[in-house]
Amino acid sequence: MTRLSALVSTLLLLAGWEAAALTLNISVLPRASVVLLALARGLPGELGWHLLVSAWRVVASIALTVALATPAGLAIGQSPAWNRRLSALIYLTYPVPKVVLLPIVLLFLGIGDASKIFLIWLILFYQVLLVVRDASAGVHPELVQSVASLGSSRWQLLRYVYFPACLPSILTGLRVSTGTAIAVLFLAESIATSSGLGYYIMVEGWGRMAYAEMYAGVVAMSLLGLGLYAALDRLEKWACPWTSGR
Amino acid sequence: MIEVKGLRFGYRQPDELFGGFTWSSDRGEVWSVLGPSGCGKTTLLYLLAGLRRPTGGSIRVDGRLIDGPRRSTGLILQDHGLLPWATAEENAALGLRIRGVPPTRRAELVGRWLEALGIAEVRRQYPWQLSGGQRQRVAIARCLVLEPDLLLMDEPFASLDALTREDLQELLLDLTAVATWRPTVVLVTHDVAEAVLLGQKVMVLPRPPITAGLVLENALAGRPEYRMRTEFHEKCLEVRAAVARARGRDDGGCANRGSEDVVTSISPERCGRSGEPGLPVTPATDNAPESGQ
Repeated sequence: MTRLSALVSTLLLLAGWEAAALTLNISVLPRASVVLLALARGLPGELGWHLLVSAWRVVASIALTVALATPAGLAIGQSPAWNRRLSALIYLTYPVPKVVLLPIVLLFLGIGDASKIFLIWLILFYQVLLVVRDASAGVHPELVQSVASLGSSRWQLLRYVYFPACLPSILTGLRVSTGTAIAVLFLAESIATSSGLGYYIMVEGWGRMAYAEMYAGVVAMSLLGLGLYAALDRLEKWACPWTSGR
Repeated sequence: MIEVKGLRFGYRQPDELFGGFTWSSDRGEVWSVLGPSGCGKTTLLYLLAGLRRPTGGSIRVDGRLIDGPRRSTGLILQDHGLLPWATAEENAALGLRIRGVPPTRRAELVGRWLEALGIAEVRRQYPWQLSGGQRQRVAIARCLVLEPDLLLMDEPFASLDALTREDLQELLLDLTAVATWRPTVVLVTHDVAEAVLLGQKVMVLPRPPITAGLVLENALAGRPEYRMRTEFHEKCLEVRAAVARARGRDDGGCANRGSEDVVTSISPERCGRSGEPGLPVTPATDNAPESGQ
């Protein structure tokens, strides 16, 4: 995707929205231009603050995921015994839709940041754990033997072989899970809380029938998802240069 | 240099690949190891490299009992064993990095070897951007930059085309000839001509469980012009017959019967610049080029 094609697509989307709003002429569908104005007004103020709160929650969840799921996946992937022991547990818990755990998480962790970060972490953790486990188990034994023969320690094997082997999978796993993470964040923030884009959309916008502000919140949440996706994409290209052009 | 006594090893009990194998090598010798597929040639290298633990007996290198990878042993594998995420230069420097050599010294040593191996211009490329021959040169650089006193090679040129293979065989001869530290070399190969060209001693392993290998002296090995001489062709036939016996059949003639275990076609062309393995062969010693005699 080139910058030009992205710009053209965005303009087409906005034009279609503007045309639909003008045609229907109903209050629940404000014009794109009005929403963009509300966005521009809100970003330096209240909306911007809610956007930062949401962004912090997602970024903290991603950091926590990388910190915990990566070593766990590496450990399980390299140990057939642990893989066997834990695979049943993973198999049973992976398909559970994590979002239904929201009330339980709220009961245990309260309505602050911790519950949101935990819920998003739970979703990302499984994704990353599984891809790291599989990537780690799939490292060619000859590659390991060849580096081991150079006299590498266990830590050096992890650093030079296993971690780089898993890095593209970690970043891809995070990238494809970002959409789900943002969706869950919206739900978590729309219940019993006073900050975040979910709160802004549902309470400040929908609850007060301030539709331009509501749509501005939706656009801000979309921009948050898009920004994270693009950032992870850039990070993958920067951190894994050997994968580009293959 | 290498002393193997009563070595026992098998991946599955009670099947043993080595059932009390004994063998020794002096410092600076170049050994070629041949044998039927699955007889344990590669496993022997892994045992010598300390990557497998014997279930019985002992391996000593330079007097030290081998119970793990040894820093001055180098291992070169058929598929090169290069890190896909590291450039040619980074791959070649990996062993030095693991040993904690400072970056400036690392760059100097690696640069010298990349120059010597003719791959300096591809130093910033990733393995997937290199040809098979260049990848193997990087693997050789990574190994030789550490100046190993024991060099273990597992079919290092098997996946390369004939001309590249011969270039690298000659390069290896040049490098081991000029190396100031004279490494002991153990080369596992399926290729009889390669074994005869490179190995001052050729060891043919029988089917498991192995207790000893058949050792053939090959004093003329180690010079590129050897492959143009009649003695080379005769030695190839001798080794081939030994391999056929090890496979459990008398196959002393020169006719090619396929190459499921070992590349056994010894054509005059192959004895000179390489022909393709598996070509029908005429046992025409008279036609063999005799330059160098």
